[in-house]
Amino acid sequence: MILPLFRHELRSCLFPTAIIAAVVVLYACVIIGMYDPELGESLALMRDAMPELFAAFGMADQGTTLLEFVVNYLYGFLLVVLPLVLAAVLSSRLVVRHVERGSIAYLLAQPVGRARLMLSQAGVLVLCLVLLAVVLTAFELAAANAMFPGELAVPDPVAVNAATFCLWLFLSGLCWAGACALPNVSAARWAGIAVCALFVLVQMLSGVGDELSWLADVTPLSLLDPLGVVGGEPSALAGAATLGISGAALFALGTAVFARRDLSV
Amino acid sequence: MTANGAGPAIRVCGLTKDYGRGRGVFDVSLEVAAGEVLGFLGPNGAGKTVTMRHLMGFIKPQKGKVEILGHDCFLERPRVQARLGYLPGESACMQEMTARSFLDLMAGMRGMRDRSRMLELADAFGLDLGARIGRMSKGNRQKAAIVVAFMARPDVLLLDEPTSGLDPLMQERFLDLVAEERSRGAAVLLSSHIFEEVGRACDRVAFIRAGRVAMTCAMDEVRSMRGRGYSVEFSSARERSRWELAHGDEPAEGEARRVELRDVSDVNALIRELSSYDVASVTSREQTLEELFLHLYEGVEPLRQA
Repeated sequence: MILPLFRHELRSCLFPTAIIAAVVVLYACVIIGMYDPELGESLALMRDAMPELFAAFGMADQGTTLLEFVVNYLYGFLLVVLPLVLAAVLSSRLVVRHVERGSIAYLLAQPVGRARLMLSQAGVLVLCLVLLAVVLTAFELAAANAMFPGELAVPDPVAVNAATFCLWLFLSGLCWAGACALPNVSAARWAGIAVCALFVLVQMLSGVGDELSWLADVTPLSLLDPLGVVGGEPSALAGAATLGISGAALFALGTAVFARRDLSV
Repeated sequence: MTANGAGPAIRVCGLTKDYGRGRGVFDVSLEVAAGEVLGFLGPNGAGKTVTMRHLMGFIKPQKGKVEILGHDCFLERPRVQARLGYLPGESACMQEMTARSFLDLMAGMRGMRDRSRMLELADAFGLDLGARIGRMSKGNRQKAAIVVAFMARPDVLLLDEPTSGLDPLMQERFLDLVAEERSRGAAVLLSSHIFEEVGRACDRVAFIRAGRVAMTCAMDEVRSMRGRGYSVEFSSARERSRWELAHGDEPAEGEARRVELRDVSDVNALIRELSSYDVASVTSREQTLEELFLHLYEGVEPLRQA
């Protein structure tokens, strides 16, 4: 951690984080507000009318509790894609932009190792994702408490968001590794998010029909099972842990490559 | 000067980085002692910046050694950079910051508590600390870069095109600052296109062409090698054509009567020769460093090491 740089970068990353957090919180509150038996029935009617479309966005099953409802409508697509956009924006801002503009020359000219420099930058990204998870959890609990008192126990959204955070860590690790390792600026900016978008598309395709349902198991996204984590299922816990550890490994890999590569700046 | 105080402060030995198609640097060797300023001259694409990047540890050498104060520039980067000031060729400071916050960030990363030298330099160069870097002119951005490079009183300075964008007054101030650092004992490598700047600031000069050091010699020696240039005005264009034909040149068109003679080393021979022509006037001036090195640009000078 390089405190002066960490503080500066955190300040510059809080604005995009706040925008994504606001959108995510808005969706979370709207979805929680939609948890209504009558509206649930109409949603069920819509789902019956367009089962493939709902399945493609990870909303195949409405669930019977508020937690199941929220997980089904929020965590299958929106809480994958929006944090992915944030991870890509921050990876670009923290690494690629400095290389592209040449300001990395000033950072590298200070007496700090490249690995320490990049770990400090990665710390900003991870902290922004932690803030997003904390804000999301707080607003979910507040909204659920306000609209459906007693329906959502505190540990449940905490466990769901902790598991989802592991997925975010994995996706941001991919963006980070691309940003740090690839010499071409455009490739560094887009490679990570392109691979992640491919995972999301494959998972959406897997929900469209029975013939493609096998695709659900071929992407790392299938390792996320938030309700399984809440239920303490070992496979779900292992899946979340795998995502988290893989994400950390990708951050380490990107940083290690960056520490060794040539930088013509 | 190595880490334990002996040997050159900057040492480049047999450095090679081949980017293909003749680009890169090949078997480059340089040494700069403490308290010495070495000018690094050469045309665009000659390999000055590539050499600087190796010294900064941005690039790993394919072959050869690059050391500063006895430390390997790539493998021991933090130890090297703790005692190094760097002025990049392209001033790419963080544009969204004010000059003050940028300088504070750089000082903070360096662990500098005493900011008095930083403020003193900013004042000397008339840098507006409250202005946003993105809205500054090139010259003002360069001033911020100069303050960053010099504020920690480093033992070694790497300056890549340092006066680019500065007005003549600030160029003077910068050259005074380099002289001050040299007398303090700093080793300075100054890369430049501007021959007069190198002539004023440097003790020695290394000339690089097509990725190879073509010549290294002391500035005093360079000055002694400088010939004089002469401008000869003949009484008529016909007389000028006669001179040109006698020297194997194609006579120029038009009524011009003047010819420029560069790199004249034997003045007596010139006077003897001109006595057989009808000459209106002869004026002389000192040959510029640019003219002196022109033949190196054109690639006809044999390799020479002083």
